[in-house]
Amino acid sequence: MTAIETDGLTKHYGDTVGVDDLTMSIDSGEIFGFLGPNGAGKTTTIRLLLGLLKPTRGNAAVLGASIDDESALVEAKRNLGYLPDELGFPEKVTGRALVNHHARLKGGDRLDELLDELFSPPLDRQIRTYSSGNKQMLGIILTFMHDPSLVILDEPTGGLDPLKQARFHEFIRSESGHGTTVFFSSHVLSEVRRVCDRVGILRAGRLIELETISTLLRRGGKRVLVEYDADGPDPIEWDDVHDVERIGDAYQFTFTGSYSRLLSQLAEHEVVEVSIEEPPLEDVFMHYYGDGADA
Amino acid sequence: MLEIARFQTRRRLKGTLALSVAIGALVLFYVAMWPAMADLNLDELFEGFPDIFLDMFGIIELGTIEGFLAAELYQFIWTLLLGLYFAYAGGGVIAGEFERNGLDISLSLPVTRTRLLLEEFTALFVPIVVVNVLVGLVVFGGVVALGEWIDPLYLMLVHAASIPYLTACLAIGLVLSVSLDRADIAQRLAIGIVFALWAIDSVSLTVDRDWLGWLSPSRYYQPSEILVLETIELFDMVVLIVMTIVLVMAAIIIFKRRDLAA
Repeated sequence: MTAIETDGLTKHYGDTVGVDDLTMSIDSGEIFGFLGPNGAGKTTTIRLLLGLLKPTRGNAAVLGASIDDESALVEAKRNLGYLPDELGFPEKVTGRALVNHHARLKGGDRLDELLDELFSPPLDRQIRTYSSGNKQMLGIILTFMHDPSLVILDEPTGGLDPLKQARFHEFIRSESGHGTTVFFSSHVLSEVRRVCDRVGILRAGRLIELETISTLLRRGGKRVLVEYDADGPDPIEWDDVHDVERIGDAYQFTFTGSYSRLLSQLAEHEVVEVSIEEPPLEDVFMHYYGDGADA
Repeated sequence: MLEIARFQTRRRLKGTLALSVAIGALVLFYVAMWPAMADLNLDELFEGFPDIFLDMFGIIELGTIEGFLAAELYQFIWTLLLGLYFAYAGGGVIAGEFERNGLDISLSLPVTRTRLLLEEFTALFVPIVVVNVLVGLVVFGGVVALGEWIDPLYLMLVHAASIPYLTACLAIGLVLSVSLDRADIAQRLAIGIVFALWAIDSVSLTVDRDWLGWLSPSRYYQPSEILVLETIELFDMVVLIVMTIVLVMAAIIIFKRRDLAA
């Protein structure tokens, strides 16, 4: 069964392209990473799926309900949880009042469990006093409280501290284990890599790749920064090395080979300092799709 | 049903009570002024005034407490200030939520746009009724405490007739609220339009062009006639209700069609 399906989904704002000819399908129970730099059209896509925006062309279905059929989509929303990127909560109500309001409209079977287990914003205080982390936790509670079969998460870990982020990722995985479909939008490659089964990459409104995570990683490479104590080798001469840059005594480059080959090559000389990280998403795009991907 | 309306009404509870208290205090101030005004023999004083002035403020007579309250309280505070207030409040409803990205969450709930709009509208209708009931009681209590008398039936009618009037002003704000992306602009425009309609209505009567004001809600709310002449035009109330229905339907159509995010 398909949780989300889009067919040539297109949204233009005048001359500006929001989303262009997006066709994809997300299966029930999968954790789908929707990856792209800020401004690529991720939020636009989500707002189209929720019926907040009307498509210029194309169509989409959420839990079987076409987005141009309001009453069907409203029915589907009983089984939908949505965590927006910007949480426009009313400021002068308590978290509890808002949670109770949502419970009356969509149910709140899992409320106590969620509050006990994981995410506990100060519900008796007014939302205007919340930190961004507390707002985010309130958003998470509202998203999952009615035990939805599909959740759409737009940059869900933005305001969370690293510990809460890790717990949230773990929570997402266990939800998925119970059959919940997760649509996870993010601009952070490492996050999507840790959590998702499959990923779609959006750039300038176009879906440029639908990959499994392992394929993406293989292609993504590693960002390496190395400093040798004396005159070390110039990594430009190695295989699978791209974009070498010299920063003082150190070299920075992208490496697309295996870890063990990288390590053995690095270890041939005395290393003062080394860091190996995932490259920023922008670099992955630049390298594998070139500037032409903008077109 | 009405979960959203109840939620929003509760959110506005403090504001509604504050509004009632503020206007109630103003009313007591007017009522307390009355004995001094009665001694002044205001009708004689105003005889020399031009008609345009008397028409604009709906002054029929000032020598009775009914005439005094109609002119000072109902023609001015009720018709103009409260009309502007509810137009302003209506202007903020959807545009305000749009502005802080609140519609994303509101419409992720299993509710249609039409339901959301109608319940937001209902939530602002409640303060209209509450303010009328509370201030109506304050007026009656104040007048009685002063040792004067006012017919409670016509006092009640003057308040009842203001409900469709204020609701029409609210509906003007609502249309702007679904049409514009920014709450402050929708609110200011709503105030501007309601004020302009009131001014056109007032001026059109004095220059013998009274057809100019037939679109103005204030044309169909005549507190002086109700309180002083003890006549009420049911037709006026029907016009206001029809006006409100047309405006709310227009708001629904606009709201259903538009994109609700940038």
